[in-house]
Amino acid sequence: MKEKTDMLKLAEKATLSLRGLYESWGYKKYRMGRFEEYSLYAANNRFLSSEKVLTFTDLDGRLMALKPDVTLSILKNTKATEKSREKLYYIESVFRESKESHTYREISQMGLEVLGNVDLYAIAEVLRMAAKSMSILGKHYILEISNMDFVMGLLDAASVSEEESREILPLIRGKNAVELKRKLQSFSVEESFIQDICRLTSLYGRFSDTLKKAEAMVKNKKMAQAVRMLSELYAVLKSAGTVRNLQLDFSMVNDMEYYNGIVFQGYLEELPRHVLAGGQYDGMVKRMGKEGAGIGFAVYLSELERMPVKTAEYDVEALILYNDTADLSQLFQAAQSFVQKGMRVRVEETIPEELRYEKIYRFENGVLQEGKKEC
Amino acid sequence: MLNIALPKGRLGDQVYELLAGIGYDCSAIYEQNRKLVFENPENNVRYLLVKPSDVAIYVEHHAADVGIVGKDILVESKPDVYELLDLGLGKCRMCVAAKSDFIEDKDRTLRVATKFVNIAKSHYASKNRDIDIIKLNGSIELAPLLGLSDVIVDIVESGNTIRENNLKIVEEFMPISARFIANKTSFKFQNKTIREMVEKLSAALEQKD
Repeated sequence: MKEKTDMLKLAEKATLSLRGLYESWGYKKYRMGRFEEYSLYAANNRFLSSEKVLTFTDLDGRLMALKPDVTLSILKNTKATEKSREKLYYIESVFRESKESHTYREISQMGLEVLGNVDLYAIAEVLRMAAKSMSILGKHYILEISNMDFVMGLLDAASVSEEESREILPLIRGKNAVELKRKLQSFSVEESFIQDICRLTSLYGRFSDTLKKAEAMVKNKKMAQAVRMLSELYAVLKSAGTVRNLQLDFSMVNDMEYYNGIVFQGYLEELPRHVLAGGQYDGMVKRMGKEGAGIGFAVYLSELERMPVKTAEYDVEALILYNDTADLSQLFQAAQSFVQKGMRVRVEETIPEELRYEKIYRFENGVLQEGKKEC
Repeated sequence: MLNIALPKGRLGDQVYELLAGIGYDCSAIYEQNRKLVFENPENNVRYLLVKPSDVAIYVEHHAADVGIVGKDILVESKPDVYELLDLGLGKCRMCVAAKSDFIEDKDRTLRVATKFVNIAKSHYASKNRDIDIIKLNGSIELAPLLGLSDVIVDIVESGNTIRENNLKIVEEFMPISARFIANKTSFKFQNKTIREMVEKLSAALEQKD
């Protein structure tokens, strides 16, 4: 049986294991239609990673879109309230612009969402699911966590306006301390706050150490709460035994209109970009006119295709050649005997081009004879 | 082994001198040949010589862990990387230039020739000016002389090319210098090595100032 799963691609294997994980923690699979009305995305385009959406006019004249995002569709249909909770996961294709080729691409994505009552337990569970998912995807991984409220609290304390913060956030995200400093000076922010905000770009590393450094920077209630929440989460995750690969990085910030609180991203050593990203999006829940809060993450299965893999030496272990005089039921049995031994077999009249086989057999007069390999 | 993407040409040479000075030397790079990869296992570094405009692509896709690239290219292509340091080398400005007798007619669509399509677009969009972009890959200065465009948007270092071609600078809008960038995954998994390099670099730069 083990050999059978070895034949599956990494992304396929990951899908199976992740499904198992989410199902065993009581998450329900959510299946949705391929299309959604375009207006949903037009109203919330900054929530999407790219504003470009693949649209078409349906037969009844409505402007439709091929889903660029799943979370919005789930949110639209949720019945969760502040008291009740929905736990869902999905495996879907989304359609997004590829920045490299400037064309639309189909991306397969898996994700998990908790909607409604999002308390500390729910957040810890989602983080644990994220860490578990990463460990399924690869041996060497880092799950980076931040609390955006810490950054927002600091910007509040420094009285940076919303408009100014829109220019500042990309610089924090890019760890661009040099330009961040210049920008803050041009906004005439107080010198001590400039130093603190610039420090955000290098406020990362092991969870407990970084948290201590962050604690020393606390300026107001919001920041104190953010730090307390992180240390509570750390305690819970530590007892569950998933802290070794966790790191803090306070330079990780998303659009503040939609996201808040905990954000996280998962990196695998072999891949250039994060393969997992998620966080709390209470702002988005409110915008959609729903009760309660939300947290979730997505796993970008398509990214896994970039993983370096050892290509198998052969496509099949056995190639059986037959001619038109062969007894088909005997031939079939002969082929079956290979499959039963766990080998891959291909039955052909002539040697197919570009097929790499380990051994070649000729089926003549009801018996298999091993032949010489032609190169 | 840390892969460093260096831009071919003068900026790359300057940056290499800087890196060699702080302990990341790789003498093979001085050999006269057409090799594009140079390795020094002792210092644990491998230099890749690539086209300046491709440095960010190598780094973003993890083919190189870190790289040195002009701010112009970072603004133009917006790669998803960490921008860790301003090296202060290769300083120049992004400029709008036109024929020396050029007077702008604001009632007409402005024709702009440039290599930097996105920079030109966003610059004129911020001024609400309607423009036509003509994308060129080199010898941009020729465009206004032949009437291909009204103005050009290009980087200017000394201004000599501009003057020698009978052009004038109409507007300067973005200071440019070389930046030290890192791939996001590399920054996390090889944090110690990269952080050390950044610290040494910034110490060396301070000394120079």
